[in-house]
Amino acid sequence: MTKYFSQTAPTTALTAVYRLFTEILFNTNSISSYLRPIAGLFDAKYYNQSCPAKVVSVKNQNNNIYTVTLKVPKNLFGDFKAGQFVSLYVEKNSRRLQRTFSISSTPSELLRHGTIQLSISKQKHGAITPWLCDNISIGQHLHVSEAQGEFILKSNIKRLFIAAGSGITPIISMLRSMQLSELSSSTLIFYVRDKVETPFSDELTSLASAGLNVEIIETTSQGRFSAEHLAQCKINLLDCDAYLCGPKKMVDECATQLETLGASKNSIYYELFALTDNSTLDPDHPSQRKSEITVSYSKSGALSKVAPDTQSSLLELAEEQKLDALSGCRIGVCHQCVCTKTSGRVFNIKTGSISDSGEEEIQLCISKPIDNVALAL
Amino acid sequence: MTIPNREKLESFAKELDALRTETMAKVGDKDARYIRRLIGLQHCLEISSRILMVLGFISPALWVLAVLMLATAKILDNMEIGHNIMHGQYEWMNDPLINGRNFEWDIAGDADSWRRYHNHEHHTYTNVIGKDRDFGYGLLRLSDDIPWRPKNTWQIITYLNLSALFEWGIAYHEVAAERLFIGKKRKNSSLPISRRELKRAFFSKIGKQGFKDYIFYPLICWPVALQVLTGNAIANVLRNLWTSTIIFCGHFTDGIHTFRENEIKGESRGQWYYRQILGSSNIKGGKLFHIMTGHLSHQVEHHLFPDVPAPRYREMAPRVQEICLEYGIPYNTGRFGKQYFDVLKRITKYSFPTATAAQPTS
Repeated sequence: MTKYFSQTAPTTALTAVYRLFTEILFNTNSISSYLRPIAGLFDAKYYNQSCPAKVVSVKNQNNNIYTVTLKVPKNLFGDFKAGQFVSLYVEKNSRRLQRTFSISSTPSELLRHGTIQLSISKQKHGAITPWLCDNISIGQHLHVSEAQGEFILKSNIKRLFIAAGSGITPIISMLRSMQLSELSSSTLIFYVRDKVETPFSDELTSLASAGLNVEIIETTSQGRFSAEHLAQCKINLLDCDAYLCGPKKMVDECATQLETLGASKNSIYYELFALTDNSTLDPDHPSQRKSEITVSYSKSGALSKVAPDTQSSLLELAEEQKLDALSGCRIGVCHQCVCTKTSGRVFNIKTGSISDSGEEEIQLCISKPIDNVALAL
Repeated sequence: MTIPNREKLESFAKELDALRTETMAKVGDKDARYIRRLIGLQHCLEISSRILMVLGFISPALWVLAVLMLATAKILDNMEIGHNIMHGQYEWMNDPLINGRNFEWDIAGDADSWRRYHNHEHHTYTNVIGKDRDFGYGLLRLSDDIPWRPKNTWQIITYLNLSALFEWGIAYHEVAAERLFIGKKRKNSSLPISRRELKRAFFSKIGKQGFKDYIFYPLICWPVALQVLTGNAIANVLRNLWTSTIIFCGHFTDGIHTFRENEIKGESRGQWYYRQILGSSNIKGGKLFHIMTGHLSHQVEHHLFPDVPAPRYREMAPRVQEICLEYGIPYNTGRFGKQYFDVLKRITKYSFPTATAAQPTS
């Protein structure tokens, strides 16, 4: 996920000489970093280094979910497997913000048209998703990382998919890329709040006519996942792979139930959609969180677990873990302790403001975690 | 200088905090466009000055122009771009090209070393005798806090040398503080890297910088090597003189106060602000002048808000001045000539033993 910020390539003698040369002449580690600001004087699109993606179309799936089609340069983007996600970088008032989204289109569409689709659900109180929908324009350039993620189709063609809400996005990509024979041996159970507002309803109808067993269940009238819903679909869990995608609570419940009904733990695959509890995003009530907060350090693999009302700064937490965190003034002046936060929100002790939830640079000495936070330390 | 107690400065701090919040709320597209364009233009200026330097054989006027352009490019890189980016003023952009942690600059001093002693020591312990080595750079006696030594008699010459060779002074600053080559090893060192790494970084950066300006560029322009070499050397010296002059005007003018280590123990935010204002002085001037100083002409605002994008200091300054007036805190500003005269006066005054000289501070 931090690929975008790092510029390290495998070092050979030649690249070492090249880097030394650019360091001597341009004080950067690549000629492009020196030239891009010049090119940017003529057209802002040359300034950025990540993979530029041109907006081709924006379409509403329902009131809450919209699909953005992006044309990506093949050489930079590479390819992807159905079910994977990308980091999307957008500039809001020149501030670069990052979010991850599952790709809802298929690898074959990328081959044929050079496009990918992201289906984005508008998060209540979100900084990006509702704003982007109104501020995106056709022809504009956004930036994406290459595709990542382990939530991809395995070889067993008997598949059970369980999706909730916008958790359908990676699954719709999987379903669209499946062969007819695979579709007819598979089942989708899709939980929606309101059937009228079912996203991808056209695609689901055509997938159903191609042989997929589709059950759309309204949570408001039919309740959440239960054994009865599974029984309705008449599937044998013993020889079938299960793919779950939705909020953490839903995935946890489904996985335990499936196991008690006889599914093997090794045949359950899942993807969590991080923003599960919208109330934690509410700027007026930022500290409603009751449960323990986890701070994870991606480079060292260490973890800190703290109470939600912790008074410790992230710098203190990292030092408790004996991590190699640079520090200086410890009062937010010197910026020595700046570190990349890959996800989660922090409270700034000095300014009293709450950070964005995506990837960004933060000062550890004046930051307190308010969500589960991941740091590149 | 005695610092008022924390209660007295509480509402003062709140007003300054509010000004910072108000300014940061405005920061956005305009600031990003400015810094990105400036970096692009600075790169263009540098490339064209290097080319023009070679064409100097056509007419000496072209060579003179090239030298001035290269000096300007270096000044912009060091002050308005490098210094300010390394303070984290543009961190909110999350732009990998404008990242304060990775930025390296066109000067002999290693950027990591600068981030440690300038951002941390100088900006946290501004004008605290014994903690802020920028106060006199261990070479000059600029107040009574420092005992007089015979070498201070000719310190005006020392100052002129320091000024002309300023970049080497910056490079050597931390190395000197850690007594890497000369003197006894520092007792309470907060150096986060090993002494070996520091030594390596020091030699690596001065090597690269020296190689670039005095070997590489002269050699690839062989027939005119001497003209390129002298041009680069003069550009570097011009930049040195300019940066050191601006910095001296920001910290060593007449009304500047110094502080003792015991005064700053358990300091409140208001007391910290108070100390920053009394340790800094501004220079009046036009917009272009401010840009060429990297807005260190607004040293007071810079010391209060080191991570607010510097061009915003211009609009913050009148408000800071008002707040200072309201609380009866002296706000030091003046035209360049006056401030520089004050600096020279101070250097001369403390060249000689003064009647009220204090005991050495540890």
